Amino acid sequence: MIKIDGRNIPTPSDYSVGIQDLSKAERNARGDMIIERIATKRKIELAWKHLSKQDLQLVMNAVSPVFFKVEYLDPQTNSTQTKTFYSGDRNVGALDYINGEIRWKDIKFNVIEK
Amino acid sequence: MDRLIEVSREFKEAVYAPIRKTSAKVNFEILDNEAYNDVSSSASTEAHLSRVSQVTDKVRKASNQYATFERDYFRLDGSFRIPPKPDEDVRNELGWWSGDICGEDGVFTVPQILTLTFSAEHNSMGLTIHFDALTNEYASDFDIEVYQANNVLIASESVIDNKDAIFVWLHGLDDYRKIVITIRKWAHGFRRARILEIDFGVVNEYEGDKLIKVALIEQMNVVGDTLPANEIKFTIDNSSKEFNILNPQGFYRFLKERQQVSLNIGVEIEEDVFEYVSTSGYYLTDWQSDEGALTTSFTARNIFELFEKEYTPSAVFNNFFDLAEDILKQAGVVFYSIDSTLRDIETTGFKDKVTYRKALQCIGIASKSAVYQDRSSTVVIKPFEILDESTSYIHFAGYDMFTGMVTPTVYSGYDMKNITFDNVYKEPQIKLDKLLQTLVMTVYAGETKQEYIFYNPEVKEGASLKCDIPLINSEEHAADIAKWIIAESNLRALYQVNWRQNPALETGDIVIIEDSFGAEKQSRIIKQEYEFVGYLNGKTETKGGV
Repeated sequence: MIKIDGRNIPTPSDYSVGIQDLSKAERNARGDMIIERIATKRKIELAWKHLSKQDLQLVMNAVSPVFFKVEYLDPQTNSTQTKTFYSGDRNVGALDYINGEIRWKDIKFNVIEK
Repeated sequence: MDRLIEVSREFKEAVYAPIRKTSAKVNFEILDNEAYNDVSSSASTEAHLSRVSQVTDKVRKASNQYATFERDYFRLDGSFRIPPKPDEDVRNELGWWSGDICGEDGVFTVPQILTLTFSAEHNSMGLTIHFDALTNEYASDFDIEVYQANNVLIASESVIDNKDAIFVWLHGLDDYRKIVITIRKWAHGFRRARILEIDFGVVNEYEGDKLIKVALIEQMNVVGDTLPANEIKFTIDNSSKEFNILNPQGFYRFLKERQQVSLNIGVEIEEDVFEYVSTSGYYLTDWQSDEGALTTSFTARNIFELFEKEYTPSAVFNNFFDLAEDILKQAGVVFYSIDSTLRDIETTGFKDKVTYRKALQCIGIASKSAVYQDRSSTVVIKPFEILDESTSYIHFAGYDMFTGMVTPTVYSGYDMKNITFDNVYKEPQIKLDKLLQTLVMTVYAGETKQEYIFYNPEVKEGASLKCDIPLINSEEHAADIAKWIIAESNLRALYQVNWRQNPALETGDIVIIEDSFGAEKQSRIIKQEYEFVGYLNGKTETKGGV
């Protein structure tokens, strides 16, 4: 479903695409709003209930560069799009720790279009 | 002829729409301009229609598609033209055409060679070869060899399977004296090799993420003591460090004064489609790249900045047109337009030495003309009276109706000249310039100078101004200029408006700026400031009557 820098990553359990209009809005001398649209960017919220150690490592490594290409399903164009993104903070929770083995749960982070 | 920049109906709607999207592109020619003046070109073979000297004239596209006896090149569908004879219409751009034609597989039995030689050493950050973009014809296999003096090879590149009509070779080239391009294979069969242009460097385009910000200032002095030079300042992303001084692979060492810069400001007319208004004819003057910084800033000014050298007349001229033409030609201006009415104004010319800039400014005042470089980099000298006819709001609105047509066409261009509260952030500021009461005009008659005093009949108290222009040689001429200067000084309302800006408006245009009192006075734009930082905004200053 999602590729980062050309590599498939595990399909997330939560996938939410936000469309953000970057604008400079100011009122004119008549008091009406005039808007200078700068750009429209995507913000994708990703979450996994559970990932194996290997899969988690793959996901974390994929989003560690400053910028990376993401191939994703875009709700507006209803097609696969490829754009350059950067990653927000990554959060990973521990499910349990048994016999020296940790299992991870509730992995979530956002990727924001450059 | 109307002077307002031609834009589409969609642009006119989009530029003042409550929600709009704008864009900017800066084209920056990082070229060794001295190499163009020092080059001589030759080719191993040449077709009869070939113009090999045109490969270094900075015209990068053919004027037309030319009908030749190459296969499928004599189509009678109106898209091809008969090529001009070698001595016919030198403005036709053809570039170099090889004498030989390649085989069906595109291979030349004998490789076709274009050689450029220089009398001095030159440096550039690479080469750009423009094949024929108009017909999408290009060499697929070719070699580039660059030599220093004594035929010492310093760099070479063998290109195989090129698929573009413009080939950019980024490679720092130092102290070269000769460039040899050997074409072995053409992209299509039964073709002559052809090269329209070879640039000694590259033309970079900065937009989107690469362009951090850009500002343009345009000015026009009606009666002033300077001829202002317009300015472009732009900042680009240098996170790749290509413009860092200490980067040995970088481009910094190839930056030189007089490298050309042009700017395009666009408005989105449909999703992701922008219509651009271009302004060209700017020359790099300053650049700065702080070590450690991720940006590099550049400043470029228009051709007036280069007019500080001393002017020596090449002959004795007795009218303003001939004098102005001599100044512009000697200053190296290629594109200029001088209004023919300047032939009717007599002068004995300059007695003392003046700079090109001062000389043009004197011509401007003494002929009541605007002297400016337009958006297409043409230097224009045109009397304000004629300029105003084409730019004033009333005259412009007058073109609105085309009577006698079955369906009247309403040309809504005049709306662009109406700067209303819809598009300004704050009510425009209006201040009054000082009143002019007396004007002292100096008349240069033969070897003597005489001063005449003229009074502003509308003012009892005010400032005094002295006008000393060597081109005014009679009392009658002085009186005429004095009357005009006094009339201009009475237009002393200075409007300043911070607004969204419209790239289709330029200095000299006459606009109406809305105010709270509904005065709707016409005023002439004397300064335009544009700033693009992801979106467009700016400032306009105008001068008009109270």
